[in-house]
Amino acid sequence: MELSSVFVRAVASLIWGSLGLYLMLPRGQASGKLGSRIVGGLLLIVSMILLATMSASGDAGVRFIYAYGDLGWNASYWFLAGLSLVSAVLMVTSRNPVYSALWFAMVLMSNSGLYLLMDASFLAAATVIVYAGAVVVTFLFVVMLAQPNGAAAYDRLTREPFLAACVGGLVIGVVLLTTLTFSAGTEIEAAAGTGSRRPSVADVARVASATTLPTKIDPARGHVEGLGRSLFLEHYMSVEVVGVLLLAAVVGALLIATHRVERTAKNAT
Amino acid sequence: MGLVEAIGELFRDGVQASPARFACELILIATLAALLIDRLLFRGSGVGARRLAAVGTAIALGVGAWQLAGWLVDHESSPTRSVPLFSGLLVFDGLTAFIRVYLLLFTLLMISLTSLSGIPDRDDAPDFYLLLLGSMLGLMVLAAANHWMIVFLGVEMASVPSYVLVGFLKGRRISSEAALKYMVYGAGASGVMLYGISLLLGLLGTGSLSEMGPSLLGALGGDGSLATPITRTLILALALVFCGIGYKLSAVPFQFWCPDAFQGASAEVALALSIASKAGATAALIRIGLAMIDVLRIAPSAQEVGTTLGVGLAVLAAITTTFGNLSAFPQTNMKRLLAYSTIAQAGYLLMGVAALFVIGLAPTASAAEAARQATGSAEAIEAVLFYLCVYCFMNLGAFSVVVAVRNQLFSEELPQWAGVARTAPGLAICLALCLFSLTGLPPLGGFVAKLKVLGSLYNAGQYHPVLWGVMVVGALNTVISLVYYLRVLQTIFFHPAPADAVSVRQPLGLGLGRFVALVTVPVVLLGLIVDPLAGLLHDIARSLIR
Repeated sequence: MELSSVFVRAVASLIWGSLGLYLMLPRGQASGKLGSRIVGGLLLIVSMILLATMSASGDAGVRFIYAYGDLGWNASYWFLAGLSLVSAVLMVTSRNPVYSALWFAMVLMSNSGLYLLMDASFLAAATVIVYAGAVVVTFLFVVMLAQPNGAAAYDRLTREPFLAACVGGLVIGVVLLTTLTFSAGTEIEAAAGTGSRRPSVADVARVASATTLPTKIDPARGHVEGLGRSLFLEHYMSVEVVGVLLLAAVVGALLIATHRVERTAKNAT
Repeated sequence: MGLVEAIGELFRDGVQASPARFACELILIATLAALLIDRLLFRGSGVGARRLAAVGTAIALGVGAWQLAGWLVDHESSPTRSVPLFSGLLVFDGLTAFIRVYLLLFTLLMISLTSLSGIPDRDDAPDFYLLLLGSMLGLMVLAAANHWMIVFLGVEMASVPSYVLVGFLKGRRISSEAALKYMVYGAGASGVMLYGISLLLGLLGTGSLSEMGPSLLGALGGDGSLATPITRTLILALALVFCGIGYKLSAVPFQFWCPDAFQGASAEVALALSIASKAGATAALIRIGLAMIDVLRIAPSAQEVGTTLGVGLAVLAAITTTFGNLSAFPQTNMKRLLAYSTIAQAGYLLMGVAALFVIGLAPTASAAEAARQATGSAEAIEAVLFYLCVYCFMNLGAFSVVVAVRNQLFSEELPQWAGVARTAPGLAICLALCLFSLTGLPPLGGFVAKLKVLGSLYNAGQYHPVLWGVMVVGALNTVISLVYYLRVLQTIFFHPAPADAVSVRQPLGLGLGRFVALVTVPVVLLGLIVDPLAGLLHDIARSLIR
């Protein structure tokens, strides 16, 4: 496939995608219509298929998605990628901020699944810990604390759905085009020359770090395994202590979040 | 690696006994779980959170006391200094066992006080006790810490529940404000502490307190004068770590949260903050001091670091005590007054720790000198622990009187308390005993405790004259504190009650009165019968100094 046709497809899928998102974004009364949301959902699916066929054609210009190898890998890849995209859309379109936070967690989980597929297990673990753990839980706390009486109107409804969809499409377009031109210009296929093995993030990191870092890490044992051993053998006490700490913190947050005013009358001295 | 192999590796350092020695904490964790389940399944109709918490704490206390007794027996037959637990992250020794018993006993007294005073009410009880026990768990872990990471986690674990406890009286503006101040200050302090710990880890390459010595020796390479960047970094790192611990101790300049938090929180919570967190922080400081003594034994070139730290702590302690006592003068709110009083008391605790640093870390010329130093260090530790014991009871007494009067008068303002002694003479006398003990008047427990601390300061003065100055400041401060304590007693005993005042009636034989009497008795007894407790503490202190 020629590069120009890749661009055309990319732009087309983006336009469909933005339109679909626009239709699905929650608005006042208009969004109550199920029809427009269904159309929007279909459009989003179309745009995803466009993107998918673009990469699945195996063109040398589109390297941001690898479609080599065995069926299991491919199946997991497509499942996770699809899940990630669907959850991302549901995150921005759901009306309840709590659901949004949970969908966001879903996006991150599927992303970390993708990292795992690319052999970047530390990145996967870190994503789960940092984002899915800390950020989303923080989100939930904020939502709980800030909106005990349900979400405010400005959290449930989009004020500028058209502009929002346009800006989103534009941002993704820039990222996509940068990726496309970059991968078209440089032959990152070189990594695949090592054999039938799929090139992984770890491979790239290993090549990059070989020149700069002294190899302290036992090559037979991965980074993550080393980290895990240290964490759960030498420091497992700390891990357990943190567990109890978080438990106490959750109880405290719940205590603060629930409103009880009648308590004050008794102790108001 | 297979599962069996991994489990085998868990126990490779021959510490199969770890869980058994960690039993108190495990029982507390089980109690936490039981409280949660009780709250979830039988909300309001179950066994009752208070009873659950009390039973759990009592069992843990029993186990803790049994372990302390076992430690004493073992110690007499074969003196071992410490047993590492859980791959060396924690350590079990006399100090661990003692602080555990101390904290658990305090928790049990706390629970009985809260059950008498009615705060928290039935609905809040599960949360309250969960947070209280969680906080105690953190302090117990902190007291047993042998790794900087655990020191940090212990401080955090003690702090996070207490932020919520301070804000427990929701809907009261002052309470929420206090909780916010406490939390923001605490977050800052633990951030700074973490920074200090990361500096230490970067400098030494290990987080273990007992492995600091060899790596410091490697890093210093013989030149330990203050001019080298490594010693400076070490001092900076330890000073930053002290920010976190000093905050728990409410030592100057980390005391700002203390008066507001005490005034905003209920008196029960203020009590927990004043006693438990100070005990945990003091134990952690003693641990750090002991670790530094070990370090200097291996790397004697770092002598100047030790002296600098000790003198710095001593000066800080003198400032803390003076600041606390002077600020207490104009206070009219009892909780606020007692908050400043606890700051002053923290200063005395810190003086004892400073004496430990100065004596233990002084240069050793001869074997006789080393023996004298070991005795001096042990005496300093003994003094600090004794002070903690007496402090526990006299503060319990003072705060429980506040609770008792508040429950009837609905006021913690001193002018409202005028003439309380006429209708409740028992309470007033107990309060007087506790306040005199806080001042340090003979023959009460506080007098002996202060005498021991000032004695260690005198010993330490032979190694660095600044400590003599600190001793004089400490002695002068008892006079200053007497003035404002007397003002409280004057109001209660001699001022006429306001015309519209409710009269407080609380005989010592009933409810809260009985509790007040119960905790005041040890204040007197510890002043008259010193030897049993002092002997126990002496054994513990001696075993800590190798």
